[in-house]
Amino acid sequence: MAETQTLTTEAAWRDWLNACAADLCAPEHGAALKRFGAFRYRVSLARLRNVRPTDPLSDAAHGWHLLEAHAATGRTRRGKRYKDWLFARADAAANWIQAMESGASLLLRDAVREQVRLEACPRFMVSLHAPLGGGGDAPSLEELLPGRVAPEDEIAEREWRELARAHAAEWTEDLDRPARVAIWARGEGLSLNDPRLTRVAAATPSRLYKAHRSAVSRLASRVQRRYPDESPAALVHLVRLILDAYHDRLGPELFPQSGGSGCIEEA
Amino acid sequence: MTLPGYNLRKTGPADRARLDAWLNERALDLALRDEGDADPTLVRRRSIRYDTPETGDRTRPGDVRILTPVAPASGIPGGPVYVLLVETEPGLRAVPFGRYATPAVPGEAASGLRAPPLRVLCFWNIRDLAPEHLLPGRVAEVSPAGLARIRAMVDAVRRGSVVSGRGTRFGPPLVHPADPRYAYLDEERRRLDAHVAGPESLASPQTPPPLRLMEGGRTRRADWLMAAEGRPGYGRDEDG
Repeated sequence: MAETQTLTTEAAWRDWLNACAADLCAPEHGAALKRFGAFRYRVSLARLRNVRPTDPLSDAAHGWHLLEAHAATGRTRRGKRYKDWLFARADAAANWIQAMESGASLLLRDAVREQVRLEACPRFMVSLHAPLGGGGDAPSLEELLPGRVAPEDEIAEREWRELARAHAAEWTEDLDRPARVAIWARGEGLSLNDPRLTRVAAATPSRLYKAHRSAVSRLASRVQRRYPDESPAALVHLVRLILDAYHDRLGPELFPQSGGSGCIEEA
Repeated sequence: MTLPGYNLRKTGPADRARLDAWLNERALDLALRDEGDADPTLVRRRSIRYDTPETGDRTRPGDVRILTPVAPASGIPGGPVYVLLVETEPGLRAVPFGRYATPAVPGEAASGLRAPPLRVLCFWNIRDLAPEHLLPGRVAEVSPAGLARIRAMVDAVRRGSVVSGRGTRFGPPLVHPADPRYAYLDEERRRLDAHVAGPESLASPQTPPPLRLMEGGRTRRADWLMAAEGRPGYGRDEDG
């Protein structure tokens, strides 16, 4: 490719190497470099059909400035050694000026990518089930990163629940009425300040809070003593399941005439 | 009495958000591909020799350097390759920096450096280099304390043990065999291969990058990455 078909000249690039920045080059050299930067910037942006910065910058100088700012790793000469890479690449090429422009285009491409990444509106909500990349066969985000419990753990989860139910049956007798009402109410998502609960439990709200905290603390201690070698994550998991099992048992026991879900009617 | 088996993976909303951010960045990169890439015949495979001893260009651990450019090749992203020298004796050992702003896999970690080309360290792609692979002059330096921390991570990676660091941001786990990050890992490995083990290789015969993993559950062997190890098959019991 003849040098006349390029947007810049070797003299302009060498001036830029010595002068540090395009603004410090000879006017004609600086203008040529900025023209090159603006052209490559617009070409790169045109390839991003769907994702654009909210305010595309058409200023001719901006494309070049973006390149200089993105590629530099510091303000001193040391931080601008990407220029050494550009010139080493061009020096090894058959066509110096073409290699120089292609190298600069690579740098500018990364700069445009970074600018779009930062300025384009981030996605507020992402479907975990939608195929990534638009293709129907593509995995979804949920498939790429499964949740905390893997699907193959269903059997283990069933065993966990059976174990929790056994412990709940064993330890329910140790709960007094305020604790039972408080645990059941928490399972229902009710506030312990609800006056209907205080009537059912025959206790004040503050007594219900204390009873609930005391019952959960006692349960955690029991589980910890029973399984001293297990990890905290496993113990927390088990305590939560036992509380669920408590809730399932206490509903029918506290409100037998309403089938276990009649607190409101009962109160 | 023992509890049932469990497999509480350390993935959650933060990992998914991080993966989503990386995938967006990757999509932008792919959309821009071929833009400005040179004709493969444009750059000849000719090494540039620098008389490093006479110019006093000595390598030191903690130096950030740029690899000598090589001819562009199909399917390998262009651009300068930045590396952090973690060892200089007896030979050079370097951890490359990634091209994206977000760590892609557990073998990558945020460096803490603010310069765009230096934000992510790719421990999984660590390489042994020859002095001729480096352009003269350091780009930046990492503090002795920072270097010690990075060396500890490198050692852990080479032992195949758990890599962790308080406050260090690693990439999300690789689980699915069709994860698009495998293509990225292949690219990055070939990119370093092109610089280090090309036809005009100046280094000693290369060994595959070591690496690999991260956390494992209580009942299952580490299931995180391992970039250079190929893809796991569906339904295969990795525990043997």
